Amino acid sequence: MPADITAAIDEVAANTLLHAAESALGTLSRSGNGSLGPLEAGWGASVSFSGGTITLAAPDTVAIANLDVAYSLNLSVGIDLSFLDFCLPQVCLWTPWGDICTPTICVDFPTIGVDIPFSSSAQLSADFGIDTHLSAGTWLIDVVIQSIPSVDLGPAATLLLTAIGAAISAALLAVPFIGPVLAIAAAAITAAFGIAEVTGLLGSIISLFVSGLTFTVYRQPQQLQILPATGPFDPAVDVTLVSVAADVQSSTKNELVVSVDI
Amino acid sequence: MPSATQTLDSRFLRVGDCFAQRFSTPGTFRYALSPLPSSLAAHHDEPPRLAVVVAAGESVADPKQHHAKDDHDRRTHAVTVSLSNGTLEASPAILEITAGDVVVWGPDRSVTFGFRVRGRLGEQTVDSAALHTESVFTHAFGLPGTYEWVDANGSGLHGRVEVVSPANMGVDDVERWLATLQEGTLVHVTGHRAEPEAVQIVLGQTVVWAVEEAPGVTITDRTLLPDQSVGVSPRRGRRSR
Repeated sequence: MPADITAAIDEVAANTLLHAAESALGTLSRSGNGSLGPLEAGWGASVSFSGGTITLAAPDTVAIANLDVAYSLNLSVGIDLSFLDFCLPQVCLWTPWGDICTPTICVDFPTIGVDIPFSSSAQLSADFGIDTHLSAGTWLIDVVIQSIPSVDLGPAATLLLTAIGAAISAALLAVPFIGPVLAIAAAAITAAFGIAEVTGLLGSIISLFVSGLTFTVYRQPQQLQILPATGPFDPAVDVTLVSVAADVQSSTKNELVVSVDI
Repeated sequence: MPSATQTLDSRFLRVGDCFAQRFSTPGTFRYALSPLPSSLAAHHDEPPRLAVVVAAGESVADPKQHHAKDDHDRRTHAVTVSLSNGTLEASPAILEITAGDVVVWGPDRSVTFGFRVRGRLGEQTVDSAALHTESVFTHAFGLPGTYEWVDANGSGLHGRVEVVSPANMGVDDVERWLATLQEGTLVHVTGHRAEPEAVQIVLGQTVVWAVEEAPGVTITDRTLLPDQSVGVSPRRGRRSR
């Protein structure tokens, strides 16, 4: 039995809906903990999506290519510097009333916290499925990512690794008595992790945002007003959208078809 | 060792600092350790918790002989200050010395804030925050830069320490650097004058201020004082790192 109302949009119109949905989704924020080799890393991240090109494929696939993923990250890493602990030797010096010697003074290097802000972007391409459902009196047509795609984070990971090294060196500068061994300390710390560990951490963070990624491309209140009120004795006329379905149909071109029963 | 403990200020002894006093007069020096700029904490009628008992040295009629014997027999005694259950403790709490000996107070790594040594021997007040005579303050410099120091008590005493960091050290150079840390630099303070007024050291080395005949002075980084023209005409001292 044919639907009471049928609407179809082509890929051009679908792209417009997608870009509007990206703007409506806004910036997503999360925080968590991960690891950078032997170091524990706390993080806070914000991600937004833009761009991308839709290709429709029957019966229900919305493929999005080259979706831009812009992210800002703040890593917090605690670094235990106790491996540098050493003792200042006794100093003996002549004074007008005889030699005076200071005691040996042992220096405990602290655990320092290093914050590393970082921003970059990546692109992903993935297949999305169509999910139509009623939520709080509103029909929603969502496109939902079907699997976590592979995202090329190589260049960004390299930049992040450099940023981490620079932040660690800057933090070490403020630690007393570390100056002469600063380069040695920085090298020892950054040797504990490399590009693989950075890529792994970055990937795990981005994956959290991409997993289950959903864009709402269409929303319609269940109660649809078809005639407005024209007076106190002539109220508005509504119809109830009993069911809404969406799929991709191929005819002369691929279209996203929305079928509505009232 | 947080960077805050690296401030140059003899009013508050921290890890890396020492205060030393030569006791030339027999008697009992009762003293307290305090993080506060308070009045005397020990009184004559109270049993001393912390004290240096100074026994009379062997008297010598010939001043030349006395000087030679003094140099030969003078001893340095170390008192370690530690923090236990929130209280500053000295070890040993009661120290027995001979007149002419020197006592050096130094905090261990448990002490996380600055403190002063202050007490009385007879009518003489000994105070690490107001150096008078036969007093020594030492500071190991852990951060590079130029330190303009002054007397926070306003005598006009001042000087400069330039701390240079050896750059691009390899593993082999570290041993050589550690060896240089045994070398101290002396600044002799007489009254309100320092000699030399300016010194240059390598990061990690110690400067020793030996004070005599002074009106109760401090060795304080000028930048720590709200009025940076304390007792002297303004000087352009910048901390560069």
